[in-house]
Amino acid sequence: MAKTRKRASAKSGKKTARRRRRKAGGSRLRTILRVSLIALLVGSVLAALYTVYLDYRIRDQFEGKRWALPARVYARPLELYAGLNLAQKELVAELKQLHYRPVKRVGSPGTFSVKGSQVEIRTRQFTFWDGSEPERHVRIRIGGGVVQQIRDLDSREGVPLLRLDPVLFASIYPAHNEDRILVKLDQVPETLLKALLAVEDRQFYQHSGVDIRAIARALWANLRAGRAVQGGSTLTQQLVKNYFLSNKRSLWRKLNEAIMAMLLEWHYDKQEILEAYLNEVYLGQDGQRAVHGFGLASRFYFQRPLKRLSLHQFALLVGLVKGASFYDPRRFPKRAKKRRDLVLEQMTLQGHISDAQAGIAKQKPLGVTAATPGSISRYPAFLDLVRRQLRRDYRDEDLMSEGLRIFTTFDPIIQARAEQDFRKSVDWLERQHRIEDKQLQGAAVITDVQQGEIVAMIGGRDPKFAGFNRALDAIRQVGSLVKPATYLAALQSGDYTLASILQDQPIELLNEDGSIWSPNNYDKLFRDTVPLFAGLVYSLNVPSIRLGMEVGLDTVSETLNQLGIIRPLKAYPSMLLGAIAMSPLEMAQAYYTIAAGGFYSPLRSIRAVLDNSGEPLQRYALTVQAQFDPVPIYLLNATLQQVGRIGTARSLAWSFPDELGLAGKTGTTDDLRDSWFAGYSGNFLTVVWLGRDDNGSMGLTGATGALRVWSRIMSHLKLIPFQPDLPEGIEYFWIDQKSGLLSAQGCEGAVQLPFIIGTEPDQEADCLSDEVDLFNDYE
Amino acid sequence: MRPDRLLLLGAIVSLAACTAQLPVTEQDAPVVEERSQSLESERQTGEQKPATAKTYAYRTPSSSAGRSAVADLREKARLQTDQGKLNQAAALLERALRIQPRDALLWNQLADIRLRQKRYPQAESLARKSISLAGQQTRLKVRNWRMIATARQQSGNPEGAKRALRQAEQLSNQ
Repeated sequence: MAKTRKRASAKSGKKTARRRRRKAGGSRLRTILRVSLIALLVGSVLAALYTVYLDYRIRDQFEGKRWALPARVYARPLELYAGLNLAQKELVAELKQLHYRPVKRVGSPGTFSVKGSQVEIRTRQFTFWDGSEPERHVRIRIGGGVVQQIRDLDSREGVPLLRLDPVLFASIYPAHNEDRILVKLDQVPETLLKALLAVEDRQFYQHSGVDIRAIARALWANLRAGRAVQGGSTLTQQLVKNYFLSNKRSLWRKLNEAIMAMLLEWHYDKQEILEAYLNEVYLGQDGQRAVHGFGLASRFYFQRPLKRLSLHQFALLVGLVKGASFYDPRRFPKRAKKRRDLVLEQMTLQGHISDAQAGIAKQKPLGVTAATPGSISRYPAFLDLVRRQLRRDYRDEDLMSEGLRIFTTFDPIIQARAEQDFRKSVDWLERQHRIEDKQLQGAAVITDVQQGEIVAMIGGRDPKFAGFNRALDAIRQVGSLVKPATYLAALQSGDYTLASILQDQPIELLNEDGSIWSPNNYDKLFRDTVPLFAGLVYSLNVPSIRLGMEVGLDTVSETLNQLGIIRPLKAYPSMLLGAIAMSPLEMAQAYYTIAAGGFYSPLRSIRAVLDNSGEPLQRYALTVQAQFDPVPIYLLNATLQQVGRIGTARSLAWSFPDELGLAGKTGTTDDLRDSWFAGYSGNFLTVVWLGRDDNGSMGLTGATGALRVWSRIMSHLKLIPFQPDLPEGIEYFWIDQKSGLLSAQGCEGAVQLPFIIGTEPDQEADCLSDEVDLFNDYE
Repeated sequence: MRPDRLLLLGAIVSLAACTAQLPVTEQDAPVVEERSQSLESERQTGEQKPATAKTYAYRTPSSSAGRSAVADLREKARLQTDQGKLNQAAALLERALRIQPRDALLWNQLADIRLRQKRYPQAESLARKSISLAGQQTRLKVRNWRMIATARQQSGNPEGAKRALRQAEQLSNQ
C-alpha cells in the first residue's frame, strides 16, 4: 500500500515537471494562468496525498510500536507420568520456576504442597498449540527418584500423563536485533520526566508537534556559532526521527519529520507520545544491539530498574539523549559528566531542583557499572539460537505481529546444571594445566537423539553474557571429529569391514597450496598395518588419510553432506584430518545423524509459534530423512562405542558404567588450538569445544580437555544406554586388535566387533599375543 | 611385570575377592594396563582420574516406564486421525515419542499420518525409521514396507514400490 502510493506520487511528479517546462515556453498570459492553476491544483492534491501517505506511515509506526507486546518464549513443558525418572526436588524446582506457591493447603491454581513423598498440586490451565491442558488437582507420589503414581484428586482416578504449563523464560522482539524493557508512563519517576523536559523540550505540553520558537532560537545560536550547535527539535520530532533512523541530515527529511510530528500530535495525546518516546529513544550501543528506551538503558548502565535510580543517574541518562555514543559514560566519562552536570544546571534554572540538590548530585561519580550486563534473559545463548531460527523460518511480517507465543525445546533444568558443570570443569582445567587465567573459552550443545531437539546450549564461559555465541559462531577446525565421515564412507562402499587392513606407513600428499605434505600420527610412530576399526578408535592420522584417499575425497565430502553439513567443503587431503572449520552446532548436527541411526533431522529449538489469537503460525514438525543404510551406520556406531571403551576416550570407563555403551569421538587440532569431544548415550548427544578466542594454543587435546567437560555434563543427565538395534545379518566376533584376525574371548587385546555374516576374517590370531602396547600414545 | 603393576593387580584381585559378586571381566583388564602407563602419557591421554568426576550412578529404567502415558497418547492420536485432525494427531505422537523414542509402532503411526497427508518422502523416511527400531516385530516391518511401497507408487516411483513390496513379501514368508 505504502509502496504503491509512493510510486504513484513519483510518477505524477514527473508529469508536473513536464507541465512546468511547457509553462516556461508558453506565450499567452491566459495559458500561463490556466497552467499555473492546474499546477497548483495538482500540487495541492499531491501534497495532500503525500500528507496522507506520511500520516499512514507514522501512524503505522506508532501503532506498531506503542503497544508492542513482546513475544513470549517458553521452555519445554514438563510431562509427568508413572515411571519418569524425576527426583522430588527437581519437580519442586520446576514448580518454583513456574512461580507456583508452596502452601499448607492446596487451593487455587498455581499452588502446591509437599508431604513426605507426596507432592500435591493444583495446576494452571494452559493452552498449547496442540490443545489445552485443564486445571487439575493432583497428587504425585515420587519414590527412589521415580514418579510412582499420579492421581487426580477430583475424579479420584489415575492420571496417565500430566503436562505442566511451560516456564516462560524470555520476552523478545523477534523482528528486531534488540531487547527492550518497556516502561509505562505512570511507572516512570517524576524526576526523570522533569529532567527530560527541562533539557530536550520545555514547551512539550504547549506546542503542537513543532516548536517554532525553539527552532528560531536554535537557528540563531547556530548562525552565531557558524555551525550546528543546537537543535530545536521537540520530543515529538525526535520520536519521529527515532522511528525512521537515518543519519542523513537534509532539509527534506527535517520537513518530513516536522509534518509527521504534527500529524502525531493530531492523532494522539501528549501522554501517549511521551510514553512512546521514553521507550523508543536511542540511548546506547551494546555490541551489535542498540539500546532503546530508558527502561533498558537503566539496566544497561546501572544494572538496576529505572525506579531505583537517583537524581544524578537520571541526569546522566537524559544527557545521553543528545548523543549516546559521543557522551558514552563508559568510554568518555569526562564528557559524560560535563553533560550530566549541564542537565542538573538546567533543572535548577527551571526550578525543578534546588541548588543544594544539584550541588550534591554533581559531587556524585557517574555510577555506571564497569561491564555491560548480559542479556535481559537468563539464557542468552539459547535465545540467540531461537531468534536466528525464527528469522530463518518465518516472514518478517509474522514476526512483527505482537504477542506471539514461542514454544521451544529448551530444558531449563538441564541448562542450569550444564552451565554449572561447564564452568567448574573449565576452571579446573585452567588450574590443572596452568593455562593463563580466563583465556580458555568454549561452547557446548546438548540435543536429544531421536527428534532433533536442542535442549541446552552454552555459548561461552560466562553463560549470562549475551555477546559472542561460540556454540553458533566459533567456526574452528574440527580435527579428528571429521574422521567418522571417512570411515562411514568406506563402510558404505561395501569394500571394507571393520577388520580390513589399512597401511600405516609414511605418505606424501599434495597440499592445497601445492606443497608436499607428509602427515604424521599423533605419537609420530608408524605401525606398518592396522585393522580399520583401530584407525578410528585410536584416531590414527596416517591410516585414516590413506583410507580417505582410497575412498575418494569427493565421497567423503558427500558423506559429510549426508550427515547434515551444508557448508561447502573444499576437497583437499588435509580435510581428512579435519582442516575444515565448523561450529559446535554443525558438529552436533553431524553426530546427531550418526546417533539417530543414520536419520537426519534438522536440529531445532522451536516446536511451535502461536499468534495473538492462539492460531499456529507454523509448526516445526518432527521430520526425518533416511540418509544411510542401517548396516554401515551400525558398524560405525559400534566402533565409536569402542572409542569410549579402549580408544582415545577410554577415560570414560572411569566415570561411566560399561552398559551405557557411550559412543563418541575426540578431536584435537595442530598445536593444541582446539579440543573437541562429540559423544552420545541412548538419549542425549553433547558436543563440547574448548579453545582460545585468539586461536592460540591452549595445550589441551580432545581427551584432556573437552572430554572432561563432556563427562561432567553427561554425568548429571539421566542417561539411558546407547543400544542400536542389531540389523539383520550382522554378528559379533572377537577380533585381535593388532592384526585384525579372529581371536577369542579372554585373549589379550581381543575386542568384540560386528560384521556382516560372511565378511568376518577367516584367519585366527594367536591368543597369547604379546602385550598390546601399540596404541598407547594417541591424542 | 613391574612391581607397581603387580601391586595394582593385587589390589584389584583382593577387591574382587571381597565383593564376590563383582567379576573381574575382560573390561577390567585394560584398567590395570592403563594405570601402569607413565605419567607423561597419562597427561597426554587424560587418563588420570579427575578429582571432580564421580562414577555415574546409573539406574536401569523399568521397561514399563511411561507405557500407560504412551498408550494414552497413542489412543488420542488414533481418535484425532479418525476425525481427520492429522496435525493434532502428529503432535500427540511426537509427545509420545519424547517419552519412548524407540517405540517402532509410534514411528509407524507417524508415517501413516504423513502418508495420509500425501507427504510421501517423509512417510517413507518415517517408515524406515520404524523398521530400524522394529527388532523382531516382523508384522510391523511388513506394514512399514507396504507403506513405503504406497509412498513410492504415489510419488511416481513404481520400480521402487515393487522393490518395497518384495521386501514385505520376503518378510511375511519368513
